[in-house]
Amino acid sequence: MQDTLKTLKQSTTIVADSSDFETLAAYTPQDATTNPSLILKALQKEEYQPVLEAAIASAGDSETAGEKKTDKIIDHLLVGFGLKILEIVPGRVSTEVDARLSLTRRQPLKKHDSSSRSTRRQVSPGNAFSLKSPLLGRASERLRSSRKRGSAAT
Amino acid sequence: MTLLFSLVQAAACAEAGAQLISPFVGRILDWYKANTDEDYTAENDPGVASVKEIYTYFKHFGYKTEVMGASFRNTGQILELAGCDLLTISPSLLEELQGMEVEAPRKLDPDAAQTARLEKTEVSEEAFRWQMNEDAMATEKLAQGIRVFADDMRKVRKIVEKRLG
Repeated sequence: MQDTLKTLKQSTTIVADSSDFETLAAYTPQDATTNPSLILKALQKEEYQPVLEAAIASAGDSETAGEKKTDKIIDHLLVGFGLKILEIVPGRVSTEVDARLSLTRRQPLKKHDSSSRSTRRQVSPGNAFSLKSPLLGRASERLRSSRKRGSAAT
Repeated sequence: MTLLFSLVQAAACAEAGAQLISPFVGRILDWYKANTDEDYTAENDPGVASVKEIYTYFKHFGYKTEVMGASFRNTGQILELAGCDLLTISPSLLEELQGMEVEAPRKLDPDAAQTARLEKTEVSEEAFRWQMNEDAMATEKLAQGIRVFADDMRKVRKIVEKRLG
């Protein structure tokens, strides 16, 4: 008899809710999701330090310092985790827009657009990368106009 | 869109043409366990019921927005939602499912959703805010969810800043 996970895969797309590269491969999920809590958990482990180092390197030695520089590194870091995961899963991966932007209308979509551009430069066209944002009121109208432009904010 | 705890949130996402939503299961059960005296099983689990309601609503009205159930506390909740477009599952529960040998028959079915008797939920800002305010669980869990994610992102920043020296 097939195991339950295999049976479940016949009617549902299985997504791994994990930023842990090691365990991801074991269950052959189609997609993967991350969130700030999962990224934090991964960053606290020694084996994920190269992802942070790569993000710092990608952010470059620009003149910006302090908060702006940290922002830039974190953007690269979130995309970096997504790209690593896309090496393992065949489908899509999602990461989250900083939750502190949840009450703003335009910021989450702006962040989505810039991160998507950055990702598209680095992955093959078949792969998809989407940003999730917590939903509060009023986000919807902006989302609608963004969809018209063909964006894929989730 | 993530941190969904109610139908009105889901309906607003669908109307906005979102690609995918992530309605939570376990966190809804947590709230009901903490705030009521009822005993919950997979069959009367309020988190499972919430995702079923959203799925049925989307399929009934023909929305293309994908439904990805999230935040599971046990495999029973997952199996009750077999057939959902997507389910996002933690590695520990994936491992448990891999070690199980029970059938996982489809519980959510797009065809069955067609015969459901449903009315459209209004999603104007006024209606949205009112519906959220009426739902203590959704209001509290959404606020808490955003707080926790914001806090964890602050901790991520601290790690980056510490590394930069």
